[in-house]
Amino acid sequence: MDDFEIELKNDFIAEALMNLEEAEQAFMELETSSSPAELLNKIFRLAHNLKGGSRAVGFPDVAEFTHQLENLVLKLKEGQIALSPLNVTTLLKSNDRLMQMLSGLKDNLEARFSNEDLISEIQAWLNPSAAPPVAVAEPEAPVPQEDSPPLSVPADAISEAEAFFCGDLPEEAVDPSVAAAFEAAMEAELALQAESAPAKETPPPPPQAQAPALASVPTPSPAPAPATPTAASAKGHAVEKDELVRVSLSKIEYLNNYVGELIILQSVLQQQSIGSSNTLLQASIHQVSKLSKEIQALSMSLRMFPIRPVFQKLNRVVRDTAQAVKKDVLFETIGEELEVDKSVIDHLGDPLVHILRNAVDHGLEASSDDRVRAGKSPKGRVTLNAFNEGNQLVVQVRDDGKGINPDVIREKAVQKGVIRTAQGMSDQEAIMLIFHPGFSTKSETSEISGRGVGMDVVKTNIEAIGGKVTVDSVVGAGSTFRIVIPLSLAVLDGLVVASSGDTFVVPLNQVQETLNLARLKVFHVEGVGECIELRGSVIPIYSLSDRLKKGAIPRSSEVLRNKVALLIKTKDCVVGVAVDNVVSTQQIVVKPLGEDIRKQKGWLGSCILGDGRPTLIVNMTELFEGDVTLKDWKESVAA
Amino acid sequence: MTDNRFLEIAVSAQICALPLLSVREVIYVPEITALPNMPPYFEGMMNLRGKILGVIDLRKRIFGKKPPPNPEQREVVVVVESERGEIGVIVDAVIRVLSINEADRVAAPVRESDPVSRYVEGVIKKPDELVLILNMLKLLDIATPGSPARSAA
Repeated sequence: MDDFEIELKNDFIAEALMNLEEAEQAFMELETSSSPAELLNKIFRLAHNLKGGSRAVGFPDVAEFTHQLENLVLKLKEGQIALSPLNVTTLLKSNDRLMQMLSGLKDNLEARFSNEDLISEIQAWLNPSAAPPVAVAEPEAPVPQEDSPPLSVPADAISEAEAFFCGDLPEEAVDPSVAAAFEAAMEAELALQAESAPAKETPPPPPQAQAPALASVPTPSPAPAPATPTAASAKGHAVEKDELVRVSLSKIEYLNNYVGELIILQSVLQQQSIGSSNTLLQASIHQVSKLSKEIQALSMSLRMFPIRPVFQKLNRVVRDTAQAVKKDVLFETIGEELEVDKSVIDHLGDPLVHILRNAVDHGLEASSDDRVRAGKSPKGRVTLNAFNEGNQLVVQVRDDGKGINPDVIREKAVQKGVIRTAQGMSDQEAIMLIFHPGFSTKSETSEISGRGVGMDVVKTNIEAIGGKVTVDSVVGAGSTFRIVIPLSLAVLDGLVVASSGDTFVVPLNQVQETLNLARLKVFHVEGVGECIELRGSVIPIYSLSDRLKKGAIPRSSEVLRNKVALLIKTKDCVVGVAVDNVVSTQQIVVKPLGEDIRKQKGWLGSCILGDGRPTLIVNMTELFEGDVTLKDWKESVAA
Repeated sequence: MTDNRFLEIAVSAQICALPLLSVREVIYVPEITALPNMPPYFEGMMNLRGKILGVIDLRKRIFGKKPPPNPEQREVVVVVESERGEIGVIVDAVIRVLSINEADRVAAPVRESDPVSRYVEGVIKKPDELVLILNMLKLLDIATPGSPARSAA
């Protein structure tokens, strides 16, 4: 296989994988859409392109499989087979299989696959023993191109844009030599690289664009050369919108790193210029600072992606879960156009899968009858909602099911030994127990959820990216899971503090409040150390420097007198952390520590402050977590 | 593939060598932020054009102490890349790039009692002196016992 062929195959795979994602979305919509015909047209085109493209670049297994799939879609499209959840399931399974095949090919271009099982499933739809549809299929199918020159196909396999605009034209009309076809394909790709993205962003193809594609089925018109006109038409369409280009993520990350450095240098400049009498210098630095902030905002926004793909996958999760537990579910998504940092998107999928499965499996009533008896609509409703709140992203999953009964939770928790006694535990606290490791209220575990690991994992995953997850639930009315996470993981609001001559940064979201210890009475509690009393509760105070140095903890009320305490809520309890003073709050870019530094407990990373000095970011909740003294302390308070 | 070029460095009174291909750059000692709770030879972290790197003092690492300051020499940081990432290494001076014949390179004598030999990968024989080839991985490994003087320090 020469380089050119490998490149061609890889291009095809990348493109096809994107097409498949779009197809999956269309399959999902099929079940709810009022006009499935349009969707089927779209699916048909995607399948057809995939078939042609895969045959042309030499993936016979994919081609054979899509050929069968295409026949099924055609019959659905023409109404010869009625749409039903069952055949949509077959379609979705086929889509999964294609994804598998393409991912397999990505790793090994020579891979072969056996799809007999699914092909026979498709065949069963195509040839139900009673119906006589076989005769109708062949002549009407716009796919008699088994003998058409397959090498002309890459032109439309390469770009989805073309799928919208040219349909079958190039296949029917063009009969170039192998070389010419490849050349045309490459030209088309080059011309289209910039335009393919916007075309993809326009899911329903404009009617006038769709028309020729459909028209070409019955009348293979004398088509123009494949590459140039399609590129032109794509361009003509894209002009209305902003043009888009595809850029690799690593380039954006490089850019962000350099911009981060620019910002640091800029603030060094600004600090140096303070006190300078050169007004031109001052003005220029001011100007540079304004500009670099704009550049930073822009470069940060390059990492922001719509949350839509995550939501689309979840659509599928809800559907499959609902089918597995035989419930009728109406799934709504709101806010899928919201833009979120790539790193956040990557971490959001798994927790949401768990929560949604739980909502469908555990949250909703067992049957529609139960719902009707409770005075609700027979269809269960699950809503996924994303929105911005301040500097944070909020994702809510709401179901209108039976809600979480705190009494049941209390009972189970005691039974399972999660807690010793439920006495004095508020309903809210009881409900939060579902996030406890090894807790599951369902008596027998099911396929879908209920192994008692899900919710625990959700909490751990969300907290790992600096987020929080909470539940609100009303018995009989349903539950709402609320995930709050920072919009970006790369930048955080930090509190710069000084402690014993060193400077540290503390993530602002870990600090509940800051207290001036000079105004509070610090007293000594035997066996615990220095404490303060705040709004009726006793809070132990630790010195940050002592804590970081792990040494003995020489604390005395006297030493703490002129310090500032940061209130930190850990897993176990609230502690006060004494520092000399709070220097400033500022946005910081989190940088990884070197390999040899990373392993220490309580170190989150490092950052470079305005004066160019590298500074340690302290993860307070980790630093004070699992402390033996604190645990004893909590129990002695509870007793 | 072995490359036979080395960077000759001065570590206290000893001449050592680092494989040239592992050396990224040499800079003057920048401002270093100390980190709590690290071994004494671990100086802290430095800002290398926006990247944060750990810095160790090779004199303290090998001999357990720094030599008295020499006004004629300016300490430098050699940025070294190993399998464990990049790190800054403070040495007394960089002397030259050395290209050797394979025949001049001999295995290091192993003497467990000698702290230096634990980090030495080989020895370059020169007419008037011996140059020690250092093994960066062993130097960076905190588990490798340091010199006895360290615990005294």
